[in-house]
Amino acid sequence: MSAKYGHILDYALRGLYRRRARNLSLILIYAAVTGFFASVILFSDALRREARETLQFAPALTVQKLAGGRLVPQTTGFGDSLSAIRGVRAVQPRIWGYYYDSPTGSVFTLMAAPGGTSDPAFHPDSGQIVCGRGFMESHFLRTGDPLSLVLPQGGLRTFVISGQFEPVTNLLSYDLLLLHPAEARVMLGLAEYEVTDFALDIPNPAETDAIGLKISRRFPGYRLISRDQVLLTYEALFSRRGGLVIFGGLLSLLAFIVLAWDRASGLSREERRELGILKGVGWGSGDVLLLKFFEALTIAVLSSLLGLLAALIHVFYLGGTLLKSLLSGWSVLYPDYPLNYNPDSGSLLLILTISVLPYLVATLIPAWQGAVTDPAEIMQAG
Amino acid sequence: MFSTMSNNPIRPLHYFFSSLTILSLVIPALLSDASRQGNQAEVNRFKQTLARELQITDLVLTTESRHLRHISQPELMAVFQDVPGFHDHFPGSAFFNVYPVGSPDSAHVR
Repeated sequence: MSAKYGHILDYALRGLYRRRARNLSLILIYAAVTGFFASVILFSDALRREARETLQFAPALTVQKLAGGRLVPQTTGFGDSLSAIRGVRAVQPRIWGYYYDSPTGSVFTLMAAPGGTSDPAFHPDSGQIVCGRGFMESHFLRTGDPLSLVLPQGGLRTFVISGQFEPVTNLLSYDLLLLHPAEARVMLGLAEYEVTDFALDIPNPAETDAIGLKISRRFPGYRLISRDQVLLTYEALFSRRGGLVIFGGLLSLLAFIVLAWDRASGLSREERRELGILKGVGWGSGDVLLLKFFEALTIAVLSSLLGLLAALIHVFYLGGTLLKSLLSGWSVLYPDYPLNYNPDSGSLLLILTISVLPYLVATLIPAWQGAVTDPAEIMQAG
Repeated sequence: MFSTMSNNPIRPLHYFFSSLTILSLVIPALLSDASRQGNQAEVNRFKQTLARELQITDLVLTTESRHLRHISQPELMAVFQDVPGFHDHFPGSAFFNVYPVGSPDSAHVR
């Protein structure tokens, strides 16, 4: 019995080999579609994991002041009112904003090193600056070079580049410029007593919502962002319902439908003739169906595996260039970040299921119609 | 009927199984290589230290606009935030389609 299957598979492969130019082009197009779909899934999975692993250290609660719907600076004294709330272990003022760099036309994120940092690498002294790779590369700078930034009130201030962030942290630091707090205030046009927002350290995560409620009742006009909210935002962004998967996946799903439709819309005249002859020489309907099934399976499995291979190379070796450009949009500075990979069997299974099953089903419907038709009728029609 | 077919010296069956074997060896090799690249545990620790020390809230996925650079810190009237009338029509925005997740106080206040 198994020898029979082997022979039918052999015959199916010979048939595919006979029409190799057509089948090879089909495999390549099919692999490209699978590759794009797999890239979207692998890329969004990798980013979701990166967000989960790094942003778990985001502030438990960020307190921002809004006036007329816009973020406005707060006074440092407000931090004392926040630290008096029970359950808050520490209040860390944050000073940050944006710096428009006219030579490149890009916008960088300017931050002050927080006071409590233990690592001297994240603590530039007065007159020093630590730059992200994006700034260093776009200005062809090296550590130790002088760097002049334009002050908001006009004029220049010169810093010495005391260090640069490692490329492995690009996803967090690519566009960062880290300054001493006093100088960051000058660069952002803040007064000595002003900060951008406050980060609250809350040791018991279960208390975050209650503390948030207390702050919003006691100090209306403040906007609160919790760590859970940040994590959920990124989880939503790269989930199966997120924009990247919806739009990126939709494109490839449409392409899958076109491919499957082409197969489901019927057999070619040559294929029908072949089926007629096979039935005429004594093949059963089951054998003919099995033949078509093996043909479709061969194409689907080879194309899907090739597509998966292409997606792995694209996302983890070529840095997901195609998809990064979707996220970058009109950015002047294109963030470049390496992605970690941890195999997720669920995603691999999803990719293979979506790429193999619809094609198999779409092929078997016309094959079944052909298989149950009288051979004489097929041959006369052909 | 079937026995005559295997006399043909060209055996596509061999090609098929060879390519299948090659693909099924290359893919797991790539997977394990990708997961080992640059000692992930150490890289993660490095990133986590940076995120903790600088209290970072967002990933640098794009520098297209303020609300995409810091997607978790939007301003309430974000669409008007760059210049008057400059609506949120950045091409990247479509791919940052996030459903609202609520704020820590919203559930109680409403």
